[in-house]
Amino acid sequence: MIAHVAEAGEGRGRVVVRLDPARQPSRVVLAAAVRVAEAFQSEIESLVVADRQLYELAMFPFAAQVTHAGRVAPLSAEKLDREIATAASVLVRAVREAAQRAGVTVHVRFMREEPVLAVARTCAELGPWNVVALAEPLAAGDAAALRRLFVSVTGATGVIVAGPAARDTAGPVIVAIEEIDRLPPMLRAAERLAAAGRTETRLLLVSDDPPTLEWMEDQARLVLGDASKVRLEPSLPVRDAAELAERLRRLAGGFLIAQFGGLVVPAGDAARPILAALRCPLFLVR
Amino acid sequence: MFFKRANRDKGRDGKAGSPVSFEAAAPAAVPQPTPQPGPVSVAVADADVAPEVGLPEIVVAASHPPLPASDLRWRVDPKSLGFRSTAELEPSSGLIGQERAMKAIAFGASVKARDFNIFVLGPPASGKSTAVRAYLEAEARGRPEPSEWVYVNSFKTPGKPRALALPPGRGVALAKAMVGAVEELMGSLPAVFDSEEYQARRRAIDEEFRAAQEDALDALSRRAGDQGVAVLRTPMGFAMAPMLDGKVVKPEVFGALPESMRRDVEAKIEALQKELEEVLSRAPRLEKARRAKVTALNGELARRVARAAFDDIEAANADLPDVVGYLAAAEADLVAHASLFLGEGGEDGQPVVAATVGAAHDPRFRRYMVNVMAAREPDGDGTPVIEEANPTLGNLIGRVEHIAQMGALLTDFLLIKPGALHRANGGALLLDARKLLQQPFAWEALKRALKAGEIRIDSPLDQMGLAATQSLEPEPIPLDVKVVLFGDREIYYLLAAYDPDFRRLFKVQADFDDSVDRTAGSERDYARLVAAIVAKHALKPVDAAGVARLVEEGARLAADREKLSIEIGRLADIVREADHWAGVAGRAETGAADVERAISEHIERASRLADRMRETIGRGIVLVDVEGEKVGQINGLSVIQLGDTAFGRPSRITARVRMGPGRVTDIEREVELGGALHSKGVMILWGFLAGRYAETVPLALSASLVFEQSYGGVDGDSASAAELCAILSALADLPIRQGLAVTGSVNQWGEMQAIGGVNEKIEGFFDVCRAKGLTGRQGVVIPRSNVQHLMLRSDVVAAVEAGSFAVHAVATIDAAFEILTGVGAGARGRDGLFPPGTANRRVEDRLTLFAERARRFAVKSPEGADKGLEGGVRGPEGGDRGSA
Repeated sequence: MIAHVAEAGEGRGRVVVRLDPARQPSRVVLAAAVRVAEAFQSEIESLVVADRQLYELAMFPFAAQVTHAGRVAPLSAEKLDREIATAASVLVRAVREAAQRAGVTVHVRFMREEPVLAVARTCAELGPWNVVALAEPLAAGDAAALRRLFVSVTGATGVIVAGPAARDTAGPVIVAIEEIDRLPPMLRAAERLAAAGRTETRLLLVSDDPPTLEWMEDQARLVLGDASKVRLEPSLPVRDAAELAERLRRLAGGFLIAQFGGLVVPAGDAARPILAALRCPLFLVR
Repeated sequence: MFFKRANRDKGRDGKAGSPVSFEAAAPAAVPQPTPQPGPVSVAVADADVAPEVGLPEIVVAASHPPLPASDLRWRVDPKSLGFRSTAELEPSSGLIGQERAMKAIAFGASVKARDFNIFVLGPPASGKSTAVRAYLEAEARGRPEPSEWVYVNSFKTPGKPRALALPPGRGVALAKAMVGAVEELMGSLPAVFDSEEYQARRRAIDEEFRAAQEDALDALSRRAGDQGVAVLRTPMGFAMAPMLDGKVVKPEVFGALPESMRRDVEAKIEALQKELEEVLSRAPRLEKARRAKVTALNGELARRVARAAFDDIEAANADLPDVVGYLAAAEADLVAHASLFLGEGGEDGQPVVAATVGAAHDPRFRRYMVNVMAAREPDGDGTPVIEEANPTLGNLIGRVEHIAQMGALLTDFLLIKPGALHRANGGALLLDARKLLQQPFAWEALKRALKAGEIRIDSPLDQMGLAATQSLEPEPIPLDVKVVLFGDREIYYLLAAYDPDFRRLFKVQADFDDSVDRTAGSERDYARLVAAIVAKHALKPVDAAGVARLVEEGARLAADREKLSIEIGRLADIVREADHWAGVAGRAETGAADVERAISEHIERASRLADRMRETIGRGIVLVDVEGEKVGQINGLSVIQLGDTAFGRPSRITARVRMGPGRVTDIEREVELGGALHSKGVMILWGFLAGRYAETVPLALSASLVFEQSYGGVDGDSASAAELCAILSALADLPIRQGLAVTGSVNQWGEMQAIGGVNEKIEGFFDVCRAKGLTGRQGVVIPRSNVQHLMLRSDVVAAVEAGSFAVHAVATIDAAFEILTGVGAGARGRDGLFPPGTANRRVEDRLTLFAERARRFAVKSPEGADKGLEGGVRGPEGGDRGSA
C-alpha cells in the first residue's frame, strides 16, 4: 500500500475519489480521502464516472426516468448530459473545497464507462499504489459492488468507504488487526493518518478464537515495544458481527483501518452491521 | 462727632462753595472743634421761591460714625478652639446642624407608602448625599433582605419572559442549578443516547424505515431483473432499460427484436415504472413516520434523564409554586428538544457549537438559563441602598439588549439587563435630580414605575414605533423602593410648580440649610469636619490657627458672621489647596498662612475680569469719581458673580429732576436693561418721595435715573438707596461726596434695608479707591442691618484701622444723605415744616416750586397745564426748562 511506497521511495499513486453523479457524496469520505492524501503526501484524482449504460438507455424511444419525487419524465441523451454535467461540477467543487483546506492537489477526470471498469482503468493508468475512495455513503446493497471493486481493481491497495451513519473524522485512528502479519504495515499507515489528524492510534486485535487472540496480543506487544504510543485496546473474542460493530462504534474512532473480507468487514451482506453502526470512515485494505 | 454747615454766605473762612469736607467724618473720638464752612449750592434761581434768608447754622448730629475695625470682620481666636491641630480631633462622621433635614429623612425612610419619596434640597457639595446615604445604610442594616428577582424563558410565549421572585440567594442558586442541570444533561443525555440500548432501538427504527425503502427498491430491482429490465440511477432518479446478462441491451440489438417482444418489454418497463413511482412517492411519508418514532424514542429516554437532573432543583424549590411550575415547563421543553443535546442538526451531523463551550454560553441551551436581575446575599443583612450616578433610562429601569446575527438584531430574556430600580428594589435608590431630568425619558419612566408600583422595561423606540428589531415584553416586576432625589431648591420649586406628579410622588421634603448658626459647638464641629476632610484625603493636619482661619472663611462663604457655611466641597478645596502650599513651604502642618494663601490664590486665579474692570476705571474709560463732590451723582455698588467667585464693582448713578407729571424715568427699564427687582426699587423710592414731600402739593416732578456706562442688565434693589440719594441731591441741589459709595435698598418709609454681597461690594470699591489712591475721605455707606454680615478682607480692615477708609452703617436714608452731603436731614417741626436749611426742607421747597409752576402753567393754559401735570411734560428739555 502507499505507506510502503512512501517509505520505499517508489513512485506513489493517488487517492482516486470515485464520484457518481447519480448520488450525493459523503463529506466524511471526502475528508477521509483528503486525510489519506495529506498523510502520504499524495494527490487526489477526482474521477467522475457517467455510467455508459445510461446513455445506451437514453437512446431507447421509450426511455424515461422516475424522479426521486416519484414522477415519470422522458429521458434523452442531451438531458442526461446536462444533468450529469451539473451534478459533476457540484461533486468536483466539493472535492476541491475539502482538499483546499489541507493544501492537497486535485486532478479531475471524466469518464463515460461502467463505474468499476472506470476505476480499474484509472488506477491502472496512475500506477499500482493507489487508494480508491467511494464518495457516496455505502448502502447495505453496495457490499457486492465493493467486493467486485476489490476483485477488479488491482491497482489499488485499499478502499475508503463510509456507512450511512458516518458523521465525523475526529477521534483516534483505530486499526483492527485480524492477521498479525499485517500489523506492521497497517500500524504504520494508522500512525501516519493519526499524525495527519493530530490524534492517537489505537490497536484492536480481532479474532473469534481466544487462544489465537492471546497469542496475537503477545505478538503485538512485542511489535509495539514499551516505548510505543499506540494504545492496545482490550481484546475480546468476537462472537458475532453485530457485537463487534457495536464495540467498534463505542471506541468512537475517527478512522477505522481494517482488512476487507475478514471478521470486521465481511465480503458479503454480513458487512451490513458494521456499515450501519460506524460513525467514522473505513479504510479497507486487501 | 458733628458736621457743621455754615451759611453759604457766611462762611467762617469767608470762602464760598466749599461743602463740608469728609475730614469731618473721619473717625475722631471727639467732636471737631473747627467747623468746616462752606455754602451748600442750592440752585434755586426762581424769584417766586422765598429766598433762604438768614439760614441758621445747622448742626447735624453725627449719630452715624464709621464702624470700628473690629466690626468689620469677626475673628476666631485659635486658643478658643481648644486643640493644637486636627490630629487631636475625632473626624466628623456626618453633617453639622441639619437636624430638621435629617428628621425629614428619617420620617421619609420610615413611612411605608409608595408616594412618600424624598426630595433632598440643598446646596451642591454640601455633603448631604454622603450623610443621607450613611443614614439610610445604617437604617437598612438589620432589615430583612428583599426578594431576588429573576427572569426565565416563557416556553409558551418566548417573547414575554416570566419574572420569578425567590428568597435572597435562591435566585442565584437556581441559576447555578439550571446551569448544572444542563451541564449534567450535556453529559448524561448523549451518554444515554449513545448507550447500546438506545443505539439498538434507534438502529432498529432507522433500519426499519431504510430497509423498507431500500428493500422495496431492491425487490423492485430484482423483479425487474427477473423480467429482463435493468434499474439504473440517474442524477434525478431512476431509469429502466431492457437487460441481457446483467447489462443494458444496446438499442440496435433491441430494435432487431420482433415487435411483439419489444412491446412486451416496453409494457413490462411501463408497469415497473408505475411500481417505482409508488415506491418513491412513499418515501416522504416513511421519513415522517421515522422521525416521529425517533422523537418518541428520544423523548422517552430524555424524560428519564431530565427527571433525574431536575429532581434536586424541584426539591430545593418546593416551597415556591411559581418556580416549580417553571421547572415543569422547562423539563417538558427539554424533553421535546432533546436532540439539542446530541449535537445533531448541523450539516453532516456536525455539532452546532463546539463541545468546549460551557452550558451557560452555549446558544442551544440559553432557553434553560436563569437571568438574575439583582443578586442578594443569602445571609445578607439589610435592604439595599443604591446610588445611580448616571440615571439614563436604561440604567434606571433596565433595558433589553440585542446581538447582531447575520445582519439582524436578535434578543432573548438573557439579554435583559437590570437597572438601578431592580438593584434597589426593596430598599432605597439615590438619584441626582438634575442628572435625572437631563436624561431623555428617564424622569417619566421613574414616575411611571413609582405610580404603577412595578418595573416595566419599555424601550422608547418601541413606544414611538421606531424599532424594527425583535424585542421582548418582559413581565413587570413589582416595585417597592424609596427614591431619594438630590437637587437644589430651584429644581425642587420648578418641579413642584410645573409637574403635578412630583408633589404626589415626593411628599417628603428634606431641606438642607446652606449654613449653620455659629456657636462654640458648631465651631468645634467645623474643626472636626476639617479633620474628616484631612483624614479622607490623607492630608497634613491643620493647626488651630489654620482651622480658625477656615472657620472665618466659613462665615465669609455664608456671607454672615453669625453663620458658618456648610459648603463642604468648597471647604475641602481650600483645605486641600492649603495642604499643597504647606507642602511647598515644607511645613508638616497646614497653618493659617497656608489657608490664607489658598484663599487668595483662588481669588487671584479668577480675578482677571476684576482687574480689567479696575483698570478701565483707573484709566478713566469708565467714569467713577472717588474724590470731590457732585450734585445728582453717586457711586452705587454692584456684585458680579463669575463661576464660584464674585467681586464688587462701583457704578456711577446719576439723577436729573425737573417739573413734570410725577414720574421717574428709569432709563435702565426704558431700554429693557433693568430687571423687575430694580424697577421695584425705583418705584419704592418714588413712593417715599411722594409720601414724604407731597402731602399738601402735587408731586409735579419728573426725574430720570441711570447707571452710567452700564451696557448689561441691571437687577436687584440694592442700588435703590443710592438712586434715592442721587434724586434727593438733585432736588436739594446738594453735592454728594464722590469718595463715598452707597449700597442698600430702601423702603417707602426711608428705612435702609439689608442687601446681599455686602463684603464684595465694599471690597470692590476699596480696590478701586486704593488703585486711585486712598485719601482717608473714602468709604462705603451700608445698611446697619448688614453689619452682621461683614467679613471683610484683612487689607480692608487694616485700611480702616489706619483711618484711610471707612464703612458707615446707617438705618435710614436721612442718615445716609447726611453722611453723603454733610447736611442735616432735618425733621418736621410742629408747624409741619422741615427746619430751614435742612436737606429735607430744600427738597420740599424745590418740589413746592415745581408744583406752583405747574399750577401757574395750568392757569395760563388749562389744556397745557393739564397735560403738564398729567404727563404733558415728558422730555428732559421741558423738565430742564422748568427747573432752570
